[in-house]
Amino acid sequence: DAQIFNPFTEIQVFNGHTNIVRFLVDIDGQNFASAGDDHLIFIWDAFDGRRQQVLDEHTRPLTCLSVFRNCASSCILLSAASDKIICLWNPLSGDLLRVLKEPVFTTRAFGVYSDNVDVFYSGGESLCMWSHNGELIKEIKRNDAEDVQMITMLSKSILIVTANRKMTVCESDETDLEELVNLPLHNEKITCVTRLNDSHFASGSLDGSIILWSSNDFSRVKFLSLKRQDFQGSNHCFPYSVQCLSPVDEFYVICAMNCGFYIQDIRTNKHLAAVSTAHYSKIRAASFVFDNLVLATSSEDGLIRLWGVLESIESAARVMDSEYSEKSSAPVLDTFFGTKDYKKRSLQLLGECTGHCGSVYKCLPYGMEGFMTCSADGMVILWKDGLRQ
Amino acid sequence: MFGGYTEVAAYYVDNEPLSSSGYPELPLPEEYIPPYSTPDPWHQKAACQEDFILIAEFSEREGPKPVITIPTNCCQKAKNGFDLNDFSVRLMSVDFQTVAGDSFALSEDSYVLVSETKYGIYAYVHHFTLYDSQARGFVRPFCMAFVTPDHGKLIASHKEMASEFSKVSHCFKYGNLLLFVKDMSYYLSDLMYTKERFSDFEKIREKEKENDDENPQELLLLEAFNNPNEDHILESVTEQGLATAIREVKHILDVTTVLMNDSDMEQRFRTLEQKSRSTSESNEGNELSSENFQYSCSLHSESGQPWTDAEKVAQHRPSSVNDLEDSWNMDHYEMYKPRVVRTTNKKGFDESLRTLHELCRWGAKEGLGLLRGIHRYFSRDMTTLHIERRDAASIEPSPGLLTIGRSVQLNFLSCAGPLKSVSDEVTSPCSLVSSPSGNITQRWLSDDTLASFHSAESFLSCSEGASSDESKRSSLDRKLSEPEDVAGCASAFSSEYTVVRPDSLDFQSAVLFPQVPVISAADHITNLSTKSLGHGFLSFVGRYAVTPHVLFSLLCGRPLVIIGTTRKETDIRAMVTALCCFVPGHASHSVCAWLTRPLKLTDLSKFRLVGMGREKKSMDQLVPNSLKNYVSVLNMETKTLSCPAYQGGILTEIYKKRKAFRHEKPYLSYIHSVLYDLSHKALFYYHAFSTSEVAATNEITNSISTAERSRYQFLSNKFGSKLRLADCDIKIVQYLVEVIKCQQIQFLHKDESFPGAPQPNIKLQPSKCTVFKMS
Repeated sequence: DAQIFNPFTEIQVFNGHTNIVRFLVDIDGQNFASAGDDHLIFIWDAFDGRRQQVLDEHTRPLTCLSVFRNCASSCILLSAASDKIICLWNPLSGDLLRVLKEPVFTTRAFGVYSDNVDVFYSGGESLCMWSHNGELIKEIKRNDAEDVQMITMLSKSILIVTANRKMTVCESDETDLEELVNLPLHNEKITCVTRLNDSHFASGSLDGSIILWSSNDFSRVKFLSLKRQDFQGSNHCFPYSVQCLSPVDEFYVICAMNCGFYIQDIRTNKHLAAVSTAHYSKIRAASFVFDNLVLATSSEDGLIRLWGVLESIESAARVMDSEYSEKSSAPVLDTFFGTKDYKKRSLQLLGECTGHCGSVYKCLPYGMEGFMTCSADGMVILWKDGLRQ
Repeated sequence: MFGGYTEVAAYYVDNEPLSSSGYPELPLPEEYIPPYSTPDPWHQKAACQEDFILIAEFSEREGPKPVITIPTNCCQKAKNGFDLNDFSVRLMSVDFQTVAGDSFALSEDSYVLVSETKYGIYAYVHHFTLYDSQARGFVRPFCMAFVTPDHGKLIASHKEMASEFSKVSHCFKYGNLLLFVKDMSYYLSDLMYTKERFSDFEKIREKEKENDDENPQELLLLEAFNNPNEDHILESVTEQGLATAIREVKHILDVTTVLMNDSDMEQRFRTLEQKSRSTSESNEGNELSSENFQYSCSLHSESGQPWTDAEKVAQHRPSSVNDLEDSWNMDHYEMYKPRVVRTTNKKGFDESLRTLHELCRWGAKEGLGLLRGIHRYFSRDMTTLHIERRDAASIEPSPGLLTIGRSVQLNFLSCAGPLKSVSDEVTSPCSLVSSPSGNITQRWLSDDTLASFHSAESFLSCSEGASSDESKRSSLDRKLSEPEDVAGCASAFSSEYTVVRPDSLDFQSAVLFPQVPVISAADHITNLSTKSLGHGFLSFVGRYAVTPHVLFSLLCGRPLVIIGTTRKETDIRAMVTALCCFVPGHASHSVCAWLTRPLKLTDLSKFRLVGMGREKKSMDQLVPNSLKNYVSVLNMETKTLSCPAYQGGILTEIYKKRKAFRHEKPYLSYIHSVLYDLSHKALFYYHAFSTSEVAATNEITNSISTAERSRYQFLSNKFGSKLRLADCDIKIVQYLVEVIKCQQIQFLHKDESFPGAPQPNIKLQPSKCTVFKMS
């Protein structure tokens, strides 16, 4: 396979982790953090592959990692591990700013609204609201057997807290946090919750159902995908589990279901493109890379596969030469499909990025040129366009 | 006026019989006939086939005699009754300058070329003088000679030799000087003491005369102070003689002490000292110093007793640190206990003169080390020397140096040599061979690495010797950022390639790969041994018809992995050695002969050729599935080769030519020439294509599209066809260019020091693999 459409012929390997790398967080476009089961957080310079910092404070595998930019626009790296502490770091200098030891529970998720807020949330046994310098503002003790698994920020003040089959809507202002409403239970464990646009969010679960919710009244709008018969499959492998939901251009969503994925219009429920068996194993992440021309899916089989529409790729280069600035604000799918008229297309396998020999956990688009992946083999790889180098 | 013409013409035409060539055969007198000798390019008539170095001395006792030869057994195979003693006499008679006159004067080195037609050998002779407090006139004349049957070699490199031998003589002389100054200052203090004792002695004698019988008690008292031995000596001393001797010694010290100003050399001696100390046992240190005490005593013992055996052993030992420091530090000589000496230089012939080692101490060790290096360097064939000299010129700037199999091909950033012959429009002509004044060997040989000199290290020391200078580097940055300035701009599609040499290429300080030695192709061929890269390639070619595909993988930078069971380790190692000479670039660790752990992704950044082995059952794990796309695998068990198929002319030609060569040396020379040709094409590609506008626009655009890519492909193919490169061959050239680019990038980043080493990018080449069966 010559893979003439695979532009990612050059890689930068960030070697140092000795165990599974689960988290990958972009810090400022040049530096990024990686962390996983070896208790360490590494800060890397993506440009030349230098290891800038090693943050060593946790004594157990990390459970979540997030970046928090407060009003003063200083950047704080939040990390939590099963040693039940939260650490606040200055990722660039490597200084440990603060260690949060109370309340004692393992934090499973952080909630950070994108910009200009002074608070962040953490969830585990209970739900906590913190000020930017690590003062506890509010703790909501949850009388629930299940820990908080995910916190999804719908807006500056509304957050969806997910625990197993249950989703709870919480509202906060700068000083207080309260639970608003519990949403109807899902059939099975919720695997992903994502904000699609200002008025909608979606949730997917192990049984293959994807539900579209209204952000205004928190009512169920419709099923984007129905619960499957025999969703448990043989040996409880959940062959229809929704692994990943990525919003695209407000009204579209990429759903990764088991080994396949599709791009769906949430208004019409139509699939614009679908690949039913894209990988040998479950897809972990999907994102547009290479100036939105290529969709990269990463999977537990250790592969990253690149998908695209041939015609758009062939015509794309010229457009970008002349209208580069315009393009960056154009809808993603316009570029991807190469036309404004979306109809069902078949996607081509453009190439296969092999290199990882373990499950690929995260796929993070990096700059114009490539994307970054982290894997169970302890490696973080930045895939770059070999020709551009 | 022309009356006699006809007669004269008739005389010649009629009377002179013409020879077959149409010219009259006039017998020439004997002395005008040039002596005809059969050409002897292989020096078969020479008494010695091999070059050697001879150190000879004009001994004041025995006359001219050989002292040391390098190598020691060089004259065993000598023919025609060649005798080293005779030869020494001949050498020392050529330029023997006796320093005449009363006052002591330093003599300069001199050198001369000697031809000994009788034996068919020629010599470069370097005369120098050492000083010895025991010798007549304090001088010991020596000479070093580089003896070779190849006259041309001396003619071509005598200037380099002169500068190298001067360094050696400096070592000898400096070591000697330290000792001599010390000896002389001891001698001076001896004389001063003698003068003192002499005046006492005189007084006693006077008193003896005056009070012959008067006061025997007093006399006895005075005599009690006296040593009968001293008295014996003092009787022979005259006041005037003492004064002359003191004046002379003071003069010598004045002249010589000013020369002790080479702190580098002293430091060098000190490290040698420490090295030998750390190797020898600690208790020997005490012995040494006591021996040295004896040593200095015996040097000055006037009694002229022959040395005991033990003392002689001590002579050959290097002196201790203390001893050397004594001689460095002139304030210390008060510690020496002076004794009464004679002023007349009465020499005992039973006492042998000091050897070279005794005279120069550490200087001898250092100097002989240098000489061995000189011998290794100059004893190679003249052509090798010539090519190596030319290659050395292309070593800098180091980011531009292309090597294949660690042998120098050419430099992309300087247009020394090859370009001149091809391009007509070189704006400033550049010389092929650097001028002798700034000659390369000087730098190679002057370096510290000389102690472990090997021809392969000669280049290494060259790059190590270069000092890195901040201002130069910044100018390098500037130049690399504007490639057009450096490389010159060439239009890719005009048939005339104009290469502009920038006015000042101040890359000279560039040091890129300090660890990896590179060699010149000529040196590779001449010193071909079983350990050399490429050894066994001819048999490899003979055995495997897939050779062109294998070579293609290597030359286009796709890692080649040879796997087999552990039993095949020797075979696999041999194959790696044979194929080594096709690995472009001289980055460290690009070749690994034997690896038993599975290949990792990060290995792809460095390894280009790897031999791997394991037990049979776990062999599949050696190359993980995730990497199979990126490496070519030669499996020795299944006898298969999986790699991109090669379609092109150059490598097939190498394969076909195998039958024309029965021996490896000429075959490898041929391969070197092919690679050299490829390198030239890469040089053109680099300057004309990679640094031109075509490439620049390509970098800006997003060239994932087939249109863009095919345009790029089209352009490069068109360029390739101009260089007569077929499909796959252009990829090789592209990779060679890539190697140079990577070296430049690496060079720019090399000296930024940050925690966490920057990791190199890995170029992945997923390509369609074909599986070939190997018989």
